[in-house]
Amino acid sequence: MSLDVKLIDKKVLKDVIELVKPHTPQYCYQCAKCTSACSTSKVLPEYKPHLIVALTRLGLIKELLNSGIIWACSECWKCAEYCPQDVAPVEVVIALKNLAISMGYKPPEDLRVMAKNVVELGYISPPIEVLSKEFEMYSRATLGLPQLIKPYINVEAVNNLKKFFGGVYE
Amino acid sequence: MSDVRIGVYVCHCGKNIGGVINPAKVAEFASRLPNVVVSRDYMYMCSSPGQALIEDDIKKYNLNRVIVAACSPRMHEPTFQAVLKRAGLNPWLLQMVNIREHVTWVHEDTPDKAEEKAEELIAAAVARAAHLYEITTEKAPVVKSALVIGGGIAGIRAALDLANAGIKVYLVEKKQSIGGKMAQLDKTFPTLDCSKCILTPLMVDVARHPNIEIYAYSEVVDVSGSAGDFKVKVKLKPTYVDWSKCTGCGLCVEKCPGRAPSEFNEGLGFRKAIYFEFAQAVPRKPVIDPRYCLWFTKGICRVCSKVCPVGAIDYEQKERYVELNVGAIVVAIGYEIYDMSKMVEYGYGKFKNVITGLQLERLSDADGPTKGKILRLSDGKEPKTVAIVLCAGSRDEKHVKYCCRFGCAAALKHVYYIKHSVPDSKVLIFYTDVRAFGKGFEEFYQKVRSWDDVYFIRGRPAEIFEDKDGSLVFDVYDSNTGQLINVKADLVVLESAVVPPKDWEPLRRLLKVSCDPGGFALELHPKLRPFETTADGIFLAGTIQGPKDIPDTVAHAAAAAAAAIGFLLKGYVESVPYLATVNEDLCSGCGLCASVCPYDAITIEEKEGRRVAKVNMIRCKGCGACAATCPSGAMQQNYFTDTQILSEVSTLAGGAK
Repeated sequence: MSLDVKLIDKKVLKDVIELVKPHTPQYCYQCAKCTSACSTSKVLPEYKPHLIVALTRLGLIKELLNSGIIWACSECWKCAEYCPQDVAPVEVVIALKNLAISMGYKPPEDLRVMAKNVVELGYISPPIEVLSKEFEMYSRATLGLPQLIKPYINVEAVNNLKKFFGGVYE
Repeated sequence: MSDVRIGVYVCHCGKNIGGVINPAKVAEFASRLPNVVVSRDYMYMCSSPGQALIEDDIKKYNLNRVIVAACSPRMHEPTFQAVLKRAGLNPWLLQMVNIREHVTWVHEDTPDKAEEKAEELIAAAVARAAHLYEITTEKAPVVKSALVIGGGIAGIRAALDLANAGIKVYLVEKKQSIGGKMAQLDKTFPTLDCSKCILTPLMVDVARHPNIEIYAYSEVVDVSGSAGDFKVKVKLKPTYVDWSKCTGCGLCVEKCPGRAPSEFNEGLGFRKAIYFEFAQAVPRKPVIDPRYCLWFTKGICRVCSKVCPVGAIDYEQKERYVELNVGAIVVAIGYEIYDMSKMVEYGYGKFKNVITGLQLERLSDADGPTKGKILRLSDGKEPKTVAIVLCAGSRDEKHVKYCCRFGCAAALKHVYYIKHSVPDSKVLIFYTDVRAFGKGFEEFYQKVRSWDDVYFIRGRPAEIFEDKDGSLVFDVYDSNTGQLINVKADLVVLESAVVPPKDWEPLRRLLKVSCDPGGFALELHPKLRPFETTADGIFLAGTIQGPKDIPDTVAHAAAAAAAAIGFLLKGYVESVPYLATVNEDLCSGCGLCASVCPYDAITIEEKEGRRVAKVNMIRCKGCGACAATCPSGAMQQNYFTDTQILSEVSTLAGGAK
């Protein structure tokens, strides 16, 4: 990707700066300590928090939202913990996610399925198997574990939430 | 006030004023104001003909007040005061009106209103001028001696410069020996010359200098008096050795069975309970550390007193105090390494093989705990892979916000230590920016880049973990290659942040020196007066003003000494004109003024059977706190009396016309 200064969108940048206060993305001096720490980056190398901040403070936010990379963040908060300039890249990512929804960008399909599962099942994905430390799958029945009880869902509250926030679920 | 004769002089300042308002019109307005005898305008009032104009008028019209409507008094008040002096008037009968910064520069777009504002300000000044009176200042002699606090390279250089100028110097050092941080370094960048080899001759010069008196193992506990005449109380901590008898033979240290962690070696290795700070210590007189001495802790041993050939050991010694009288104080107490265990992600203090740069200096020093071999602390093996982390704690909102200013160059030097001690080692330098700003630094950086098996990686480790064998594992994202790099290092060196000394705060309060957000001493002006403080007669040398490398520290110390020499050799201090003065008839002696005075300039004294406030003219700096506090109006500040200010304000409030 080559970047063009004409792409710099100051208006959207202002929105992000407002959303991430009191953190200041412009303070970032690109030490990339966040990316050294990033849990997501370990499994998805193209996810680089310092690059997200770099593109954000350049005002190339629409390009970032188009790429869909922001939805990969696992929100472990390590970047915020270690950032020497208190930029807290995760806060920037969260701001970008909110901005994306309000600007009409669609989140990835998987995320919508997850949101649907939370509302309908109470879990992100249907609980079927158990994962061991060695990454082997066992069914609950063979391990003699009891069947999981479906969590209590306050249907009215969930519907209200959907009504107020819409967002990812829609 | 029929005898008030005012001259008003309106300056055009080229187009600065004349381009916005009409100075001739303003001068014409001023001529109609009460007590104004003459009023003129001129292109450049500060020029020689402009000054001559005022001088001639003073004589011709017998003026006794002069108003100059021109620029800020910060700019030309002294210029016009000199004119009054030449014409035989007291300089404080001058009143400046700032119609440039306060009027034409800020109201360029509304010239009519600007002119009106200029006229109103001049009218207020005319009203004020009637209440001006002659002010005289007082001179007090200066004690031709100096106190230097701190015996590091800054204190050493300042003390030597002062002493060579013929000034008596008292050098107070809290440790057993002078030398400071520089004595702990193995080599100095970028030339790699041996630190001790260039430092210890200066230490000996200090010890031998007839004008320098060293108070080692001592602390400043009280400072009173004022610039030119400070009274300083120094505590001589008990050394349990009679230094007047001790010959420095070192037999006691040799035979002492007590062991203590060595502060000089940054906690690596041990020293004896009776010890010299290091081999070349100055003064070469040992001290007993009662926390580790077997006599003090268990009531046994006394070996040192048995072996001492001159009977200098004195277990009963108590702390002593000396009073010094000095004209100037140079503060050179240096810095401390930031406590790196606060940066939990790097595991310092938890993992044995994570060390600070200063600890590496001790490992590399031939006189250090490993006799100059760089070894791992966990198993004593040679490290084959060494990671150096720059900006550890520096430039960090959660730790130390500012740059340490020598970590980068020190890291380059540390690469040399490691490659020199373990030639087949691999050195990884994790940097964000390499700030090689000093003379010869960039050339040194280039040289280090070319060395075999030295890798510069632009990235910063986030979490360091310890492996079973004591080595350290971590991931670093290298933003040059765009790759995450897995690192396994035998030794991690943190180029740690620097902070002002922990025990500096009480001393700072004694000296009445302000501090910056980082806690370092605040200089009088960051560019033009970086070695002076807002407290007269107190100067700053070296890193107590902010992080510095050795060349900058030495230059700063020499500058501080030069400023102190100038101050001391002038021979007198002069009181400020804006002094607080007491109307004794109104004063009730309540003492509120004395309690708010930040300079201890006010005392309450008995006079004719009642208590009244008395101002020490030399100590008073004219801050005005007492005048604002005084409930009866007895305390007034010269040039800013209630009458002067109120006449000005009421004229402004009432309008000029």
